[in-house]
Amino acid sequence: MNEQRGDHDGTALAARPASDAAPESPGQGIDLALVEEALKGRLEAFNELVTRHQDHLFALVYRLVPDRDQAADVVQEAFFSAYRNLASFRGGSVRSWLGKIAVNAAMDLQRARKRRPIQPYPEFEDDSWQPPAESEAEPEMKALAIERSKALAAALATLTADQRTCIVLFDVEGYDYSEIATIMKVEVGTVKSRIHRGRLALRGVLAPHRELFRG
Amino acid sequence: MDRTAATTHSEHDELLIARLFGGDVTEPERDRALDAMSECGECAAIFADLGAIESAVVEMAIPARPRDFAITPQDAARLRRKPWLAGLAGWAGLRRALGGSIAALGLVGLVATNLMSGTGPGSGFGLTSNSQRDAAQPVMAAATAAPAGMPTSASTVNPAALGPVPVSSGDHLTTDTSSPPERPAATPPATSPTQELAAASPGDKTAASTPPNPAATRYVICCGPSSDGTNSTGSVSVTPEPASSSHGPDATMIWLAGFGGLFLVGLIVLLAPLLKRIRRSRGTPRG
Repeated sequence: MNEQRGDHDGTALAARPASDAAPESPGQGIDLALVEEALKGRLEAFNELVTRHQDHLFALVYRLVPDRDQAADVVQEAFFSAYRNLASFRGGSVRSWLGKIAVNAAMDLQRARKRRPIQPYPEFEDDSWQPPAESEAEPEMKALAIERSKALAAALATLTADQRTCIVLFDVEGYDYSEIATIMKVEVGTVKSRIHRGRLALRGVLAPHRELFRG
Repeated sequence: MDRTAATTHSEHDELLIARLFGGDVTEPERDRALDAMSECGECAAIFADLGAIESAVVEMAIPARPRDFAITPQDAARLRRKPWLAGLAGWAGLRRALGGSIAALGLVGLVATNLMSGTGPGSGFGLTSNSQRDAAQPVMAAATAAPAGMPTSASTVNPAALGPVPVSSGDHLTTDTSSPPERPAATPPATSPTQELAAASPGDKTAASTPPNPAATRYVICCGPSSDGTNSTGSVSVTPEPASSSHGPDATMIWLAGFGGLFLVGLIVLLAPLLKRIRRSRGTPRG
């Protein structure tokens, strides 16, 4: 069994490296220096880290918790937790470390919500959607991307929290099956099953919007 | 999509296609999935849709970040670990160890007390004290060394068969009979031995006035001269005696209660943070 990221058609698709295994990004050195400064008590250094990573964390958490306000609360809590536990940072990728903290915070929220179900999910009429950077040039493409994203957010919201988390960690964050299993504290087989079944469920929910995804 | 294709697709495994997409197939499974995709347009469409959905998830637009997440100096002051909080963190570790130790001690004590008390296996006819046990030995020896016609072992002693024998104030042996399997050694007679005792020894008001309680009785095996002055060699009377109330609370029960309390205290110390966390998570709305 291949536990790494799959080559989807067996030949063509290259595996994306997992976050921890990724080559150091140019900003990695800056991140480490900021962590050192923050450890000395400089709040501005930590807030510089926040500025550098808050968009990424919000985008990640929003896919896991498709409600803007809740996602914002989770990200804020993740930064609080990171500040509190800065001394426990053991090197490596700051981005990945923050991502794991945010995923854990999102999973905590999902567990709490499982115990106390609330009226879920966002108001999709919200005008504050940010289109992907590449589609900014074409207004039609931009509109299509926003429509697609709204449909996708609604479809993701219908999945179980576990399926959604596995799919986002695999597809967006680039973790492999075993890393996700470690983060979620489940068996690798469970992760695979959640991803495969979750994708099929997504396809079923998105069937009426198929034309949005075949452009 | 024609009807034949739909019928054919219904026999295909969509999960296999999804597993192929995720790179989670063995060689034979891959061949089977590729065969299905080459034969069935719907299977091929599933594979294509999964690819499109994956791309869409990666490129998904998100709403604008509603606020800046920078930490204010007030937040930082609140979050910064205080020395006494560090002490509390140390206490948390100590508490776990302490709670576990206390609970373990209580549990071991409970088991040990239970084994050493009369309720343990093999101790159903246990004597209540060493002195009583010592005192019993010559009596039991005398009983087993009885002449012909006498029951020669404890198991053959049948008070009903022996008939009423007056109880003297001589040697007597108090035994517990809390263990049913060993009860035949001193089975009470079918007729109430107390009544026999009352008939034979009207002067013994304590025994005579107390009704037998099969659930909580102690049996008194008495050997000694009979009331007519002859040596009652071989006469053994087994008389139920009410559980003594003059001895105060049973020591075993005190030990059991003590160790039980210890066990409970240990559990509470160990589980208190967990219970607090559960209560907090139920009480505090999160979203």
